[in-house]
Amino acid sequence: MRLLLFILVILFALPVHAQEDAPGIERILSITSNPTYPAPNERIRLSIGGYAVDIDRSIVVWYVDNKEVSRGPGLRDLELDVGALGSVQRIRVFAEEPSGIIAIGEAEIRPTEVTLLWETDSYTPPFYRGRALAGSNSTINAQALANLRRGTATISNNNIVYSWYRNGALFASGLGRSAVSFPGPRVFETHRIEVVAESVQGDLAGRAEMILQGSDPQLELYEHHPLFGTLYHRAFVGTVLTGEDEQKVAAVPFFAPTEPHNPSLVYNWSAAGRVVPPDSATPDIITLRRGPGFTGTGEVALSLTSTSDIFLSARNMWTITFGDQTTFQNPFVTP
Amino acid sequence: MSDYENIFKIVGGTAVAFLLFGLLGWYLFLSRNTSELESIGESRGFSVGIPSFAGTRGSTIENLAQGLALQSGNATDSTNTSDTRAPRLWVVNQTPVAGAGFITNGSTTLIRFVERSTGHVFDANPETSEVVRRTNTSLGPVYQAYVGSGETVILQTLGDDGIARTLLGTFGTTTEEGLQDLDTIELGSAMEAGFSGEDAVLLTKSETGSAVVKAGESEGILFSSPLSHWHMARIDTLVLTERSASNIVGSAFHVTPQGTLTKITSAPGLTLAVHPTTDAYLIGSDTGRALALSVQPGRDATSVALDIQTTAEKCVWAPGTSLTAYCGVPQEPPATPFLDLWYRGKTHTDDSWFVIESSTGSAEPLFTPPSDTDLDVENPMVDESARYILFTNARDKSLWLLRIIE
Repeated sequence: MRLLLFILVILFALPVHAQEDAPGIERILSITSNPTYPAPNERIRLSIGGYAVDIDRSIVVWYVDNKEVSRGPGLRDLELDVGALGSVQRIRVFAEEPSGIIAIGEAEIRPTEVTLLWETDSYTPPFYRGRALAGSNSTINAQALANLRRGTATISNNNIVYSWYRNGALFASGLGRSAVSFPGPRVFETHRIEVVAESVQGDLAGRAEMILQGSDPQLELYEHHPLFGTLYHRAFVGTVLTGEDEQKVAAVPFFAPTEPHNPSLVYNWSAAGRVVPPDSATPDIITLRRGPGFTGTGEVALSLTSTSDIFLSARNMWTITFGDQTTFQNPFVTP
Repeated sequence: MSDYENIFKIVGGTAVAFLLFGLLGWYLFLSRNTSELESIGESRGFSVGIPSFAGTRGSTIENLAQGLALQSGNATDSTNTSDTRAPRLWVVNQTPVAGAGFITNGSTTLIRFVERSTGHVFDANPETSEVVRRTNTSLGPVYQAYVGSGETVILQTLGDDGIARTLLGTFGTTTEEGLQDLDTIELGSAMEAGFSGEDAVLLTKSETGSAVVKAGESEGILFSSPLSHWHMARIDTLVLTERSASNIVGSAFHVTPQGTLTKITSAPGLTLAVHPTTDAYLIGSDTGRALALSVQPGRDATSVALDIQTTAEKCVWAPGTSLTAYCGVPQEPPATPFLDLWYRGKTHTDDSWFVIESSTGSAEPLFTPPSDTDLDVENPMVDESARYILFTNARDKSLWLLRIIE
């Protein structure tokens, strides 16, 4: 069903050929709206069409709530400011051909508001203020907040039918089914999620959509400070200078399917080209120690895979400078 | 017998001589190694001594300042505890803080903050520059803290399992002398927290979604949702936003007393600064390529784009019914996608302060920090008298105060 109601009134039985119609006979005009489901206070464009009416040669008159708002030859479109939530605007349009044939169309505009919310269970570190993106093998939880009103009366959620579409295909629907969970897109996949909310009576309907893009986990490295804890506000970026002889660093797999200590995640650390086996209890944390007398630059690399998801793959590399020399030697003593 | 006596004396004397010689060698060996160990220990800073908590502060910053020769004594440094008015831009605490807020003690406005490394509570007086430690209960790293209007704080720490713990801490009143114990009770695991008057308000996660609950005397559930990734943009009259990400549309809602949501606005990379007493908003958006900020003076009013590019999380409204706001604005266009990079600590900005008059939609410069002071403003707040802006520097979580009028 649609928001716009087309109330068509045919006054006379029509003969087979239009050119044989007598003056004063009415035909049907269809009215379409762009967007299809107008939001409150939105400007929309209404357009008329009719298969048996020569609109371009007709005088077209538009009425909104019985008030003439536009008149002229071939006026196919009308721009209209929609009212507030709960309001109704009654549209009538007449088209009269030079031959006297009349076409008529009617519609009602009832704005609705549907907001689509979503989240994913992908990992983000504690106290992260941002939104988690849809990582590999994640689950999406979505909720549609439908605000359908007749006057001041709000339609309760139990009287709204929700239909959920993924890339155009219906995957869930039901009375009051405003929340759904479903598998997120895989890496490089894009899902267009659409929900249509319609009152049981069918007189009110609204729609919302969102685009979900799958992404691999993103590895960031932070100092794990003995006093201050993990310094989540200061990621290692580019070349990081340190004056410490020993530094604990923690990797954060943003948007991984599980928390960092989950045994299904496999961390492969290396420092200065040598493998650094992490502690099995905290594989996301390693200790870097400066080699005796070393000043210079060393590289730390990490790749992340999963034993439960062959598609999961993430890697990153960081450069750490001890002192002010730039000659690369073996900077690390592996713990 | 005399031959035996002579032999015994010779052997005994030789043995004693060897013993003395050995002891001398052992002494020399030990003394040389002790000297080496001392020099190594000294070079490692072991001679600095055990941190002293005898001062008014007894804090990490003070220990660092004394033991590690941290920068101190400049015009904006908080280690100055003399009875002098703080400079217009004052670094209240150089080391990371977990959270801060304003409190009033009689007619005096004080800054209360929680040290990140210990969880100790401090009070700072902007008129005298005096900083006083209030509590002596060490809790280890505290990642987030919220300051209540009474002698209460909410602290959030991390367990070894990586799970956040939320504690409600109370301590003695400001009229009592000396350091106080911080008595804590567990509030469970909360994603966000804050105060509504005297009551703690928590955003908690459950298997079926999340809930905003009020602890204390008027305990109850304010809101529940099948989703959990909310942000409490305002607590006393609850306003929730979806968590933000660059170029992902987010929405903001009023929560009615019945717990239903009334939409305020939607925007890509939405951030929101809600006026404390009216329905005015600063609305930030991040398209992934640029930031934009607009002001909406009322719930149904039309929003007006402002001529500054920043996020609403760097903005704060003046108290009362004034429609004046203050924003930290990056002096250079920030790296993009800004919010994603900023939240992860991968980029920082150098901000100057602007004042926004929402009635006219104007944004005028207020204060530009010295060129050697890089401030990435976050968590700004204004005191009740609208004299000060308190904020943390997202670069290092240090705590800063700006006097609004010179």
